[in-house]
Amino acid sequence: MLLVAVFGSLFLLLLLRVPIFVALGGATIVGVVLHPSASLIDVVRNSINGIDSLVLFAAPLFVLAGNLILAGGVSRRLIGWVDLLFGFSRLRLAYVNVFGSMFFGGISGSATADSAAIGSVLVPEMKKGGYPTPYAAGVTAASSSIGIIVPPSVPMILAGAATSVSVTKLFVGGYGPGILIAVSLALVAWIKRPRTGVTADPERFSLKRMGITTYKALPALVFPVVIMGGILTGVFTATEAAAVAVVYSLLVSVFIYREMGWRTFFNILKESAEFAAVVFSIVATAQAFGRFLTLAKVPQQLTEFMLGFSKTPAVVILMMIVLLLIIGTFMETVPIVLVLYPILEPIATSPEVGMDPIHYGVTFMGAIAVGLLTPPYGVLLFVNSKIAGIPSADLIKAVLPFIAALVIDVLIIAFFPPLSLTLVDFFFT
Amino acid sequence: MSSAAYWISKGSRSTIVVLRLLLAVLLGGLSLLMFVQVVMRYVFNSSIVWSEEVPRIMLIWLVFVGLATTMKGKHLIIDIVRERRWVLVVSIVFKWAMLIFFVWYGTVLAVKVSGQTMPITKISRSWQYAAAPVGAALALLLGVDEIVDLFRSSDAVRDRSEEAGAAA
Repeated sequence: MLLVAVFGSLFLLLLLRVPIFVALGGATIVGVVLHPSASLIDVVRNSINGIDSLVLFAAPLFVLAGNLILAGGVSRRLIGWVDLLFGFSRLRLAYVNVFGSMFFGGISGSATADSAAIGSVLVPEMKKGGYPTPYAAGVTAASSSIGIIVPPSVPMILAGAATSVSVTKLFVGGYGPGILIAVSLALVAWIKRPRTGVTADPERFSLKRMGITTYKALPALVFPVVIMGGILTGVFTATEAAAVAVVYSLLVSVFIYREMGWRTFFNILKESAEFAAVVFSIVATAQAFGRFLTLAKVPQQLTEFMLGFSKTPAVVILMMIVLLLIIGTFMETVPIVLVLYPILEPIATSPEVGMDPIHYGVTFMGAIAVGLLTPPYGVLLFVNSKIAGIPSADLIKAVLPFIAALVIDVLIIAFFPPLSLTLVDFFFT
Repeated sequence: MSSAAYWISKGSRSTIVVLRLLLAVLLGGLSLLMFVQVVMRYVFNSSIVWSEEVPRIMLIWLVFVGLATTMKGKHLIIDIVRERRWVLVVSIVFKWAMLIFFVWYGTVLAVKVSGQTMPITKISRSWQYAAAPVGAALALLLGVDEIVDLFRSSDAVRDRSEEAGAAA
């Protein structure tokens, strides 16, 4: 009864276009009022304590670092370097889009930032090269979903704040699946390739060109190496790595690429701070909501319910994935991670199911990455239909085959643990 | 009436400019402090004693001040139901209720913890908790503009429903 009221008010408020942080806070208040031993002041206390954590610092810092280095003019150079690898192919722009997104995922923490960086450069160029616009936008949208799997990743940082999982290990676990997804999306891009109209202008590979492009893109290529190198050798925590990333991007943009002035710098600071505030206001009330659910013993009830339904690991894992895919169609990634990650973790890691916590985390991220693309609420659909200037209905049609590939990828990630865990074991045992 | 509306809108906009400057300073300062801490720790093998607690306070202020400047159309919503006037009114009512809740209980909390201090810097915990009522109060202040708009024209409202960048 209590839960019906809590989740009912949450969904009602969300439907009424109430900001997500207000809806989560409101649902918590409804629950607290109905619960015999909860107090209203704790809603505010838990909200503030929920964002008072050093782990969370990594999120705004990585966002800032990504924005700084992109404003410095790194997009074109990095795209130019990836282009070097695919210059041989008639479909090179499509492949560059997919693998460029993978590299950008290694720089920025957010999928929307990847879409903006890649799409604004490549979609116009693909149009010029004769690709149909929905195809170009579809490839961009689908491949930017890799951004939350390949570290740094804001959702992974949030998972680390909501549970005790190690953000560093989650980061490392994301590399294998990130590559799998990129390869599978490139495959779909090839299967669905436009048969006519694409002007083939393959560029001959030359050592000289490779030297020049690599030199130009070097500061951008070094970025992920510095960050992950620092984390893997145990020199930095994720938060410290983020702080180093900020200073590194600033130096690169101001002194090496010299495309960023102080005015741009201040604007980026403001934009990134507001982005952090928008995300963290949701983090705050979601943490209060999560605390309330724990007090009301919801995680235990859900665990019992799901394990009462079936104790076969494969069935339970499939149920979790289906749940995440469904919720992902209408919910934003941030509240999904904050509310569901801690609730599902005890189920996934229970002795009956037996998932490794990192394997669970990476699978979770894969499943919610699909939600970035599924209507009615798929953030990447909005962003990319705007960038490409096409109605989102056209984009949805173009993106469907990629969604199918992503779902298959999620199943592979879920049922083939070594993909996520090999690197983790290599570095941490 | 319309001149009052003009001044409210102008006042809100200048307040937002000032607050966004504060946001830039907070995020810039935060990044710098974290970086200096890394350098001190690994290069000089020592650390600044306050370099953990002060950024923690700064982050909370950043979030709640940012809550105020992003109040107008920048917060994430679920976009399933089409925007209609009555939906907007309901949504604003809930937003205000939530903000008033934060002002009230945030103040109570900040007063309640005034005796507690953070372990290293001995800064009062009220500094942390005060961010919530102050930020929520600023958001209410800036929200007046939104209500004025609502009464004035429905066109301005429609413009604002545009997606304003999203998290993922």
